[in-house]
Amino acid sequence: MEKADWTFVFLTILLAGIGFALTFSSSQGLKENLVIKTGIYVVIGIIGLIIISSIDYNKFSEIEKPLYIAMILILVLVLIFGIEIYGAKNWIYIGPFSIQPSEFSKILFVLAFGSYLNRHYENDGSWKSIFKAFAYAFLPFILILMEPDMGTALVYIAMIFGMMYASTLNKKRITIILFGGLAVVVIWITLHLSIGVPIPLAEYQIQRFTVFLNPYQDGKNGLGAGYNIIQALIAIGSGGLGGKGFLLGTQVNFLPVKESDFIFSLIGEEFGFIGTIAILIIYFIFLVKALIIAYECLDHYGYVVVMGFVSMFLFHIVENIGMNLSLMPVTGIPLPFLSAAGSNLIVNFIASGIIINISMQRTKVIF
Amino acid sequence: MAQKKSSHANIYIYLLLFLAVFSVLISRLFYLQIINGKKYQTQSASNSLRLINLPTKRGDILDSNGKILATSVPIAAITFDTNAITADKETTIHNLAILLAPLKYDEKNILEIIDAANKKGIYGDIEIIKIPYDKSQGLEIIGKFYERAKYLPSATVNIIPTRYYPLGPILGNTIGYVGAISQEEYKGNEDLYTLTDTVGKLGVERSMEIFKKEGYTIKGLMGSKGTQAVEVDNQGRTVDLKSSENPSVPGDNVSLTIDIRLQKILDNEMDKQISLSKAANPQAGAGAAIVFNVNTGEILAMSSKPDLNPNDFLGGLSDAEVKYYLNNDKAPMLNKVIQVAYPPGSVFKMITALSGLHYSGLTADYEETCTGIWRNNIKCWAVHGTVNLTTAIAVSCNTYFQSFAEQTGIENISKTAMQFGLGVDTGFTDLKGVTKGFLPTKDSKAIYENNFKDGMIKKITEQTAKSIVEINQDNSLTSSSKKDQIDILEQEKDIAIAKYERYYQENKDWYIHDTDLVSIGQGLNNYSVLQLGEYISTLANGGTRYKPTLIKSMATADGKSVYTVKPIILNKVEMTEDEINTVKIGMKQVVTIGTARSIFSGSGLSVAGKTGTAETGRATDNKEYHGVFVGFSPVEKPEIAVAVVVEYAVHSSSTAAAVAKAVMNEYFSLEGK
Repeated sequence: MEKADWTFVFLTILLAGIGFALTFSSSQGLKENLVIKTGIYVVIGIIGLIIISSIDYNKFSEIEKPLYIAMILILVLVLIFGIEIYGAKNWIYIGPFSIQPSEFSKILFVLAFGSYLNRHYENDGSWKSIFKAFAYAFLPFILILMEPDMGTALVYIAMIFGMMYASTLNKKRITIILFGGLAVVVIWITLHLSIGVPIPLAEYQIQRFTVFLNPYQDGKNGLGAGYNIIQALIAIGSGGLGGKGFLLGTQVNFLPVKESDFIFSLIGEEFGFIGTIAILIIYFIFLVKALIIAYECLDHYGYVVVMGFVSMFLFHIVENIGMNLSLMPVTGIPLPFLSAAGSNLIVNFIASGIIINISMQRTKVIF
Repeated sequence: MAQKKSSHANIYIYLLLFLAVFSVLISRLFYLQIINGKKYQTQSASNSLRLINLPTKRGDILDSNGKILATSVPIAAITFDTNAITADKETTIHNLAILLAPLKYDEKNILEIIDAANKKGIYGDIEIIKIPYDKSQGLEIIGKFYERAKYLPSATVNIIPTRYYPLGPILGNTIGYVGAISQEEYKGNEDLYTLTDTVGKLGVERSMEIFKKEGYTIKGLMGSKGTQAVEVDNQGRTVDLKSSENPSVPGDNVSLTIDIRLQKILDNEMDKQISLSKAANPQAGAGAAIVFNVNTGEILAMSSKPDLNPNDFLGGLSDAEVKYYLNNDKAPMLNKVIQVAYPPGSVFKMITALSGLHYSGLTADYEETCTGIWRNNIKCWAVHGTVNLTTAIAVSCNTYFQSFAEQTGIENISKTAMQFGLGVDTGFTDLKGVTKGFLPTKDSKAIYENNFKDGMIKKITEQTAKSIVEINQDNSLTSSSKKDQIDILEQEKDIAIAKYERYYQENKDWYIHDTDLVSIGQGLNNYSVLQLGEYISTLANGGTRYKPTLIKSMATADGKSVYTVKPIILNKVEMTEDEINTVKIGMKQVVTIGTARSIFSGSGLSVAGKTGTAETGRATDNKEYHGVFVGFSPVEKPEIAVAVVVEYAVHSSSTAAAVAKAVMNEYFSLEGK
């Protein structure tokens, strides 16, 4: 217990606390009582964190198969029982709470895939060993695409590559696959837009994916697909150095899901550059702390699992903030601990709990 | 169990990655919040961007001489902004009711209009009323509106160009009309339209709504709407016009090949002949006619009766108009020139003649003796005695052509018909919904009879199934009597189906009798008036089939020509000039000594033509006929071809020929000037 990384625990609670405080501002004008709802989620999350952090993470490695099966099961369940909203089946409703199974699958995936990579610690570094690892990750990935939940699918790609890099698989070959894949996607989209090469996506999906490059050129002078991006830019930019003050933001009211996908715009508007930089610094320390925990963990399983969660957090942070700043396409994945997104919040607490448990079992104490 | 990890090198790569992405995010935030903070603060203070659609002017439709057939006139639309603040909205509605009181508006029905729009999902600027801006009352109300604008803070006036058809029903069916966009039309075109837009619904208005051509981006009649981004404050007031204006581009003006002077004569004469026919037979009342330039394929006039007046559709149809347009067995909504296939009757005989001359070595000297009946079966309309080809055309002898047809055979006849555009794609693309007609061949007959049988069997089966359900639901019957009744129904069904199966077996094959019927334009022959016109044009010009055209040219609003039609040859027929000229001699005799002599005698016109009386239905005991006439003029150097069908014509083909004569007279008197 004394080995636990208390700084990391503190940062987790601090982020969740900030997220809770922000709901006082973001819930303005919303019908449901977001403050109470988020409060309940935070309490559930903290209880989850305490329970999870007290379980020896090596136990998870031993139950790899049940974890993998449970993951597939919840992803299949949502396809069958999920409620369809805007053509996607991402949610299961239990009373007033909605649960997003693809979020929870991320925890199960990191634990199971980590165990798989640990089992294949000794590998010949061949292409075959890499493709076998991809095959392991393919099933949950394709189930999420079927919902479809593009945002979480992208998070999966980040986690898969992040963990494979941390594993003993041949890194050069993984790099070739990663950049080769990226190049294919970029070239394909470019060819589609320039000379009309067919692509298995609807036009609006492509537009959503590319409009961030120039949100005013959405065919409707910035009131079509580019609208959210422009409103987010105005909200953040108008915050200036010191912001308009807590609860005093008005511009964000032009944004849908300001409490979730666009919470960073609210921070930008109400707390200004000082506020946004403060958030970035907290995230930075949070991630570096997790990295140090991975560094100090002496067994491969713990190392790969922490790197999986680090990849998950990093991707969520960069993609969400990037989207608010018009640097990344709009995909609608939440900002860890700050977005009022119930399932994601609990998943983040659980991930932190596992990292904390790993930190408790490290061998040397630095700092 | 736990294994030691291999290296820590990755950790530093991750650290570098963190530093890189966080640096990018921080730089971007610095750029947005510190460097551009002021700019965004201004935008935020004024609070919102709104996009205002700048209306565009729809293109005009003109005739070949520039006479306006469809245009847009200014209409003032008063709109109400539902996003305004409540106090302003209340003031506005109160004062708007006072302003519009002369038009019988009050606060209650203004609120109802807003409610109705909201229910359809329309918010923001909602149209309350449209007032013609060129009428005195409209000018007065709009004048007052501007004076009192300050008391109407959430209302605006937009002057919108609105459609108007100065000639009313003349060419109405072909010009078409515009109306509010439907959900189906909107779907898939969200980037072009909004839900409150008007689109072409029928005729040229519809087919030329969007005009695509390589290297040319303007969108036909519709033009492209402009947009103006404006910044409004939190009370919805415009603060600033953004520079990023995207100006509207007016639609193109479309010139038709139609000469409206000729069109008026055609319409008038059709009306006259139809009303004469109607006086004799209440079933009359419809018809179609077309005038072609035989050397280009241009349509100079086309008439579909009864009339359609596009202006009727602009403000919504009245009850009487709904009855006239939609519950009318004469179907004014159909363009009968292109959409309806009529039996051609004897005007088909030139096809039989050309087929025999070209493919079977028959000559104009071939003779047959008409005794008034052929094969003891099909009657000729008179006893013609011994006739040769030209005389047979002149007097329209059925017996002669049946004999001729049996020599040449159905394969050659259909081959010939197709070359003249009968029963095949007309090539006409300027309007939608063009029929291919029906050319009977061995194959198409079998398919036709099979479809007929299947249709009848399906109908019987459905009817029986419905009756069985009714019996089963009838609680007053005992189960055994239900069973008996159902058994009877099933038996009746089987008998009826067997009857149609037997009929099909008897009729699916081609018989000599079928050839006899086809040769004189009866049987299953069915062609549109467009096809008859195309056929006669091709015959007239010596065998070149041109693509029929209605769109002569298109030009932008400022007069830049973007499209001009050129004659397109679809095909040339295989018959020689001599063979065609032989037939033309017969057609000339039709007018001089034959079946149309009474109409054209003394007219001074040089005409070759052919009359036809077409049976109106499948049943042979039906004694009623449509009058058909086709012809061209002048005989030696043909310029125009005319095809006319008058349904239930009082004097049969003479009624149709009278229409052709009037048009030809007008054509040459116009040319003479």
